[in-house]
Amino acid sequence: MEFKVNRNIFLDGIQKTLGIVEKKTTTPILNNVLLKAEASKIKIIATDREISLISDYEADIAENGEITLSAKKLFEMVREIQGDTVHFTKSANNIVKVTCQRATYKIPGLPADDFPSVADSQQVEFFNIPGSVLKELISKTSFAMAFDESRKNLNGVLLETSSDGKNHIWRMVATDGHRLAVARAQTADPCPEMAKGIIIPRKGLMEVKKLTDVHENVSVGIHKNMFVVKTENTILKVNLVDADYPDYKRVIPAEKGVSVTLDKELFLHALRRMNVVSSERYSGVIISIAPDKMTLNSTNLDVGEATEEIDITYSGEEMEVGFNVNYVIDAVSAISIDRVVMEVGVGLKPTLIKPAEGDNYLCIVMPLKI
Amino acid sequence: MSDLIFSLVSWPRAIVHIDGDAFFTSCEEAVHPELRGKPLITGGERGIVACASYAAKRLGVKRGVPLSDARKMCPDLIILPSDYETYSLFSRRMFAVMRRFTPDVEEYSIDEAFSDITGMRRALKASYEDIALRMKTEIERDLGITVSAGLSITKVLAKTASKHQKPAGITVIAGRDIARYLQDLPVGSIWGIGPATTSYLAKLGIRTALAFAQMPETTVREKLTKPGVEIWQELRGKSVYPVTSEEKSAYASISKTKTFSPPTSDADYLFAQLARNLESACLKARHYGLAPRKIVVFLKSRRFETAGSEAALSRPCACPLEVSGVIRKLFNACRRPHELYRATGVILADLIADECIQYSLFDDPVQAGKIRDVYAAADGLAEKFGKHTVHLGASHLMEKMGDGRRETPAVREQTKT
Repeated sequence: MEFKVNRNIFLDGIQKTLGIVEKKTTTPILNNVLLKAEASKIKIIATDREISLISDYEADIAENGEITLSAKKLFEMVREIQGDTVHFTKSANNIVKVTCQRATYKIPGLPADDFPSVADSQQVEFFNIPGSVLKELISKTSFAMAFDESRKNLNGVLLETSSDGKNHIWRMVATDGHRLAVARAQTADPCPEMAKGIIIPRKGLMEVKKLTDVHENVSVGIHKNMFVVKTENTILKVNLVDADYPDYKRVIPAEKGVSVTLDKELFLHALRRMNVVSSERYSGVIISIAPDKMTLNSTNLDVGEATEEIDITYSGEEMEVGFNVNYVIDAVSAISIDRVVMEVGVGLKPTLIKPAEGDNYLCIVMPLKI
Repeated sequence: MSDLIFSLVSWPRAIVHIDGDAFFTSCEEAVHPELRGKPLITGGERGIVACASYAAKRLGVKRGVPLSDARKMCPDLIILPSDYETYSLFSRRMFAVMRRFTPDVEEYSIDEAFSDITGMRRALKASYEDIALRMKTEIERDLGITVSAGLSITKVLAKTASKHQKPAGITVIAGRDIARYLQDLPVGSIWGIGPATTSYLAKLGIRTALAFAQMPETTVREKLTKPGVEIWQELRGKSVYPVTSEEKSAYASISKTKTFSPPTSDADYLFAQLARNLESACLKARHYGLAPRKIVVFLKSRRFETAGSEAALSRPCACPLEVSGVIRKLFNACRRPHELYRATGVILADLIADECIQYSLFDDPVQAGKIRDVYAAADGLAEKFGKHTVHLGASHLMEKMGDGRRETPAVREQTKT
């Protein structure tokens, strides 16, 4: 195997694998990336057996071949190298020589045959979804995912689709049991049909998000219990969580709570000021609602107290409700327009937070009894 | 801190450690003078020795020995069931005597306490040695039991001192005497140095407490964890552990376990025991305003094998009624049908202040609120009529069958009023 590749392109390619290669593994080869040189492309493949990333980059191939090398060391070496082109040569005994200008590294590799096989994606049926749309679905819901090893189904997001032939709807849901976020998007191109939604695990979802950060031209497919994302030069495969998602529609309040409309930025800044006095033990904010006025108060025995009044649109009876301030901040931050509606549940019922217009997003937050 | 050896000032602080001698049997001897000096053990209801009197210890009967073995070693052995009410009464009286001298008394366990008597020389018109001696003598005179006392300048050293002459001894380790007391002391017998650290230190060539105390600071910080460094400092006479006199309110976990005899495989009885442990643990948690995020259930078999399982709660909760379903699942997960068990236990772990309740979307807050109200009322009744006046149906068997012993009560128990 022998090839030359642009240093910056290669460095970027290796960097993308660092989130996937296992840091603590009992199988040493999973610390490695597989490099495959063929047909004027260099292919970089990384996997942790749950997530696989396959990327192609332009390269000047002198001799086809393949080898696996430590992802972390390769990244550090290429990062320190100066010059435009890096030259790779594999010699006998799986030793790879990496040369650039007058610097040379020699790294022992492990044979490519020992690398876990990454299922090929020939049969996957792909559906277009703009990267920005997928990214927004993720960023509007991922904050609500659970961190709980014992509830695997909640440590990820639920992705559902529906279509009436004309309107193709994608819906992403996340909940940790205390709050639930639902984001919805519509695409011009058809969406995949699913009998029931799929659960994409946290780590895989974060990799999907990284792809959507830089690629707009994205398509996705579901194949053999895998969620597959494709961009111009990359294929990402994420094993799905094999579990049932709770019936989230059941917790969306059927009856409308007490509706309050307010300015998003004003509300968010006030909440952040409350958050300054909160700690892990006391993270509550008490929201008191009166005609055209909302009062927020956070009291922490260890730190102090914060109070603030903001103007709202409301003409009903006075009421009071407590929340974990971080949950409200997360819910409001995800809203992309200026006006926010809060439908406050009465009597320890959940509260709904959504944009004043449109139905692309809603978040349900369970109150805190203070 | 320098590597200069130990404290040059004799009494930068003065800390007394009082440790009851064979505390449970001593209490029995105090209550029943006719037993005095006889080979005596408590723990009859558990089937193993909980505490052996010095007369029994001389015959080789030690804590943790099965009763059948103990009887073989000593045919005249007097076996008593544990009487924790009496022991805790003696315990409270012992602490009360210590508080005559200073309010800074830390109740470390049922039969051990630290007290900080720094600066009390003038007020009590006595030297630190005399204060410690008076503390010990007054406990022995008022309670009719013997205790060992240790006086030194840190808690670790005071505890080392009280162990130095047992029973009924008093040992004073002043700053300048530290090295003399540590030179022959195996490092493993220092308070806080467990078997793992002992064998680790042995690999570094450290076998005595003195060798440990003389290790250079850089080596200690490099090789040991924070508690190790703290013990090292305490041994060198630098006090880092304060005597904390306030009542304990910050618990990381609460554990309740109860042994019964004979061992049984009766699922209903076992679950009743478990449910009662749950109720006791929850009662304590509620008393301190705490609620667990995690619950552990364990069963101890006749052969002393422990099987356990644990679950995370969707919301912190210290109401047995709400978590009894979880307990049942955990119980079923770790119980083997024909195994004979001798003890059950519950651990409430990951405790947090039960003040702000974050309900779950999949919860019924109204129902949960009502259950809290029920327990608030039950706690009120418990204060008036005794613990567990209101209890789970599952633990009701405990009321009918007694809470530990199912054999015929001992003569002493039958005659007890």
